[in-house]
Amino acid sequence: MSMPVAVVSARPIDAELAAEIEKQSAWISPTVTELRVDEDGRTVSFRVEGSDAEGARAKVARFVGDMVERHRVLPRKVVLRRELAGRTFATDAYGELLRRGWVVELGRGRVSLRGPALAVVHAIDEDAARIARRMGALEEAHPALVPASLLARCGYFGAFPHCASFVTHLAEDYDSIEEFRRRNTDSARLVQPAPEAVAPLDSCLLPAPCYPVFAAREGTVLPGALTITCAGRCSRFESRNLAGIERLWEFNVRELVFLGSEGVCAAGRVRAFEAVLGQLERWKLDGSIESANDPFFPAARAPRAYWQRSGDRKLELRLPVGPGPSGGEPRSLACASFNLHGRFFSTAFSITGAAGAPVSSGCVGWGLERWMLACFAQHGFDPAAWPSWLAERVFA
Amino acid sequence: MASEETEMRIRAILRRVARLEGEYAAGADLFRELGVRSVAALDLLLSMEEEFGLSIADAKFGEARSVSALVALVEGLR
Repeated sequence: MSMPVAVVSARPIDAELAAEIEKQSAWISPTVTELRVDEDGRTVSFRVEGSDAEGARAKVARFVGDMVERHRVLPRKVVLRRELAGRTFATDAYGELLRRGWVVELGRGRVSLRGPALAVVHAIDEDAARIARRMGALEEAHPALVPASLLARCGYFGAFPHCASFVTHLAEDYDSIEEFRRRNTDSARLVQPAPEAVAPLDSCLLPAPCYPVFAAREGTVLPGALTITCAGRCSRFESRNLAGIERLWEFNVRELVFLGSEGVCAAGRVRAFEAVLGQLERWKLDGSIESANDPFFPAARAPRAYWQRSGDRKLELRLPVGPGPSGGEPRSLACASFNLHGRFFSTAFSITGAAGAPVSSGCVGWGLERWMLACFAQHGFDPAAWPSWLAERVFA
Repeated sequence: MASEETEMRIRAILRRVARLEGEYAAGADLFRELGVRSVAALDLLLSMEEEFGLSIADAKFGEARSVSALVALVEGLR
């Protein structure tokens, strides 16, 4: 049983913010569903499950207030667009990947890959790693499981608390472990341990591969600029927005990290930007590069999104992954991003240049599974439609 | 005279939104040299718009990274 409820925003809501509000509404409460910003750009309608409509309305009002208060309208800049004439898109590439068994869902937001789907993921990783090596990047490997304090020092819990994936274990207590074992023996599902049987949270799954690059250099003085590449599994919880490959909880990213002067990082980003344009050409993919901001938690969003958007500190490569509604713009996903961090991470980990001042940093990340989905959405499932060099690798 | 008053008011805003206390050069880069955190930028912009009753373009604000540059920005818009 659910009932319709609405709140009215004190400030007008533009279309882009409306889309963010609808997406971020996943964090309000499981009892608040179908939240939409109405066409008047002020009324936010939703349904409430259960009897506490007033409590839900108050929570939605706080959420909407956090999203609109201090929101500064900064139009999305399209830096570049590449479109092949006459391109058609697979209407349900993800469904076809599932039907062929190349992708298997193991749980919401978690997939296994095999066959051509895995081959594309390997191909894009190798291609991105090759770009990184050409730019003089040194390869590093880092664990996916890191101390929670590492993310705390990166400001992660202040900006993205909703996306954090914590890892814990049973507390070292013989009797409570035995109790857990006994209750779970012969059970096909997890019987939850008592809260006191679980150790305090002290570890997290990495949300982005670059954080340990900075942590592993804590307190160092860099003699000169540094370029690093690493690949890793990333975890970002996205609640009910988790969907197929488009929005995975766990996914793979190849990253390129720059450390040095502000100019070195900006120039590195431009070189990476040009290299990715070359990739689009080789992979025969449509795409656009646009300004963007991260999905910060609503209460922390406005100042951070403004900083990113106003200085073009975050650019995203968006690749179409399916036809748009009613023949409009194709549906697209961010498949790579180009970021400038300023001195944020070097200040957090005391990484300085020879002159003693914190260095700047920047990074470029390729989302491997999303890139793979875009390939099948744009080239389809007939190898003849793929670039020949890629088809030989993927469908061999 | 007007610019001195503008500077005083901008310094007061910086004290409030960025906890920037004490003496510092008007030409110092707020973010790089004075350690103003990036998350304070939006509060600084909105506070300046409210304080001076102006609408400030984001691109111009982004280029004005010191007290003296902010004073010039405000004076130019009046």
